[in-house]
Amino acid sequence: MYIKLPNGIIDSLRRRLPIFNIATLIAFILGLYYAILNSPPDYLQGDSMRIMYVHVPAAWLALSSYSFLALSCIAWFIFRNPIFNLFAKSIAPIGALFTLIALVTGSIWGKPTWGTWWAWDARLTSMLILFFLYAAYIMTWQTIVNKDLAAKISAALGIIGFINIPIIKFSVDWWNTLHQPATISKLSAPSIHISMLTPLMLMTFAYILFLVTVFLMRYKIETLDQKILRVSK
Amino acid sequence: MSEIFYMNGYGEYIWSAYSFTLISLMALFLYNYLSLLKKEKKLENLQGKNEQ
Repeated sequence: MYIKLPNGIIDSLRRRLPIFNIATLIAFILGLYYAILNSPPDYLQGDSMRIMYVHVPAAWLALSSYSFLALSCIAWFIFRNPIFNLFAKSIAPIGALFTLIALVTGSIWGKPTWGTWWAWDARLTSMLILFFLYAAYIMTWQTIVNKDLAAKISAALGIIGFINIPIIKFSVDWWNTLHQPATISKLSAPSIHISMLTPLMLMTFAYILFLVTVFLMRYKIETLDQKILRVSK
Repeated sequence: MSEIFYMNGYGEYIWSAYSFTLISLMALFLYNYLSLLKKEKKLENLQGKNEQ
């Protein structure tokens, strides 16, 4: 079974890369302005909670990116269409970096707030595992020379790692962890004031634009690689 | 102005977190941007050779 893919959409988006670059830059400038200058300090955590504006969007998108990667892997197993591997390969390094940012900024926030850089707590440990899953996925493609084999192993790895996503999401509810539970939930009104929600949403928007921009660039690199391979044969 | 750097004592934490984030995002962007340019050039060269 072979399905028709939205290559036209990706191509037309790719041609608009300069627009995405500028939009990402503007979103970051606006987000940083609110995050640093135009939002109040937290009554409990003081100014240190400003770190949340770079930490929370990174963590959200690290999980979303992995879900996208795992779904692409599942789609590849079903349809055997190489485009799904391109999707997963294009998003993997971005998700890995977002995970790293969440870990590092969380650690920097933890020092003044919890009094420690790191604890082997459920949320922190499962995020570290997520980083290793991304790393393993990327390394599979880089180390296995036979690309058909690499496709199978990486897709299997991507799917197995999917188990970790609900574990990360619910770790703060299932276990007693140092990490605070979610402030923003789809099911209820967010327990956060608008003055703090504005910079958080702006930064999330900036991160999403960044993700789309780099994803499109990486997707183009992957297709160029294939063309180079075909031409040089 | 110094208040922004001091951040009521949290300055070093906030600024190190923000600089790590922004520098790493910029690095990933630049790395991919440069390799995109390189790949485009490589393909052009290869196609030029094939036509000769």
